Amino acid sequence: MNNLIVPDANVFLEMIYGRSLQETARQLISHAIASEIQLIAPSLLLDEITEVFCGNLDDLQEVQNHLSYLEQLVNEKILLIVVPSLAIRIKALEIARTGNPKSGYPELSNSLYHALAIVNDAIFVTNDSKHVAKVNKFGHVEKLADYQKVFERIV
Amino acid sequence: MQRTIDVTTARRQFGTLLDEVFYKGDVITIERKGKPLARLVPATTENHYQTKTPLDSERQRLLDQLNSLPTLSMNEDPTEVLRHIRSQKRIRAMKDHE
Repeated sequence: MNNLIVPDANVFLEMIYGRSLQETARQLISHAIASEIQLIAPSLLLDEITEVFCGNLDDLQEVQNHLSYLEQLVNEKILLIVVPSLAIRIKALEIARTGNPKSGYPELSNSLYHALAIVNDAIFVTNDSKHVAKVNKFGHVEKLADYQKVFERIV
Repeated sequence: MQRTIDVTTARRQFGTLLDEVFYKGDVITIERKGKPLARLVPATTENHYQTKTPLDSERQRLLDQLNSLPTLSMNEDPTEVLRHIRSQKRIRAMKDHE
C-alpha cells in the first residue's frame, strides 16, 4: 500500500458545506498539501462538485472561490486528475454490477473512484457509508470518518 | 504543520487535536471571531512520526487559504445530494436501455 488517496467528491463537499466531518476533510487536504499523502481522482470529481453547486447556488463568488481553490490544488499537483483508463472502467463496471435488488447496487460514479483506487493500490476515502457497506469485499475503501486511522496506517 | 481553528471546532475535536500535536508535532492556533486566543504546541519533540520539512511558499499559501475558505450553506446533507445525483444517472441509463 502506498500513500495514494482517492477522495470522493463528498469529501470536498463535507469541507465546503461545513458538515460534521469538515475538520477531517480539511485534515486530509492539509496532509496532501504537506506531501504526506498524494490525492488522485477521476476527472468527474470536479464535474460532480460543480453539479452540486449548480443545484445549491446562493453566492456565485463564494462558489468561485472554492472552485478556484480546487484548481490550484490541481495546478500544484496536490490533486492529480486522471481520465479513467480502460482497466479502471472495466473494474468500475465489475463493482457497479455487484449487489442485489434488496441491498441495492453501487453507483457507477462511486465505482469509478473506487476502481481508480484498486488499480493504483490506493484507498478510496468516501463519506458515503452505504457504498462502503455494499463494496467492502473489494477492499481499498474507507469511510471519511475513519481517515485518521487510514493516515496513521499509510504514513 | 501549523494551522488555525475556531473555538467551536477545538472543543469538538479536542482529542483528535491533542493526537495531532503529540504524534505529528502540529502547532494549532485557536481563535475566536478571528482573534487568536491560545496555541496548542507539542510538550516535547521526540514523539513525532517524522521531521517536517518547511513547505514552499505556494503550498503554505494553500494551507493558510484552506482554513479561511468560506463555508457554504445547504439545508440538505451534500453527501445525500450527491448520492441522489448519482442514482438519477443510473435510473436515466436504465430507462434509456429499456
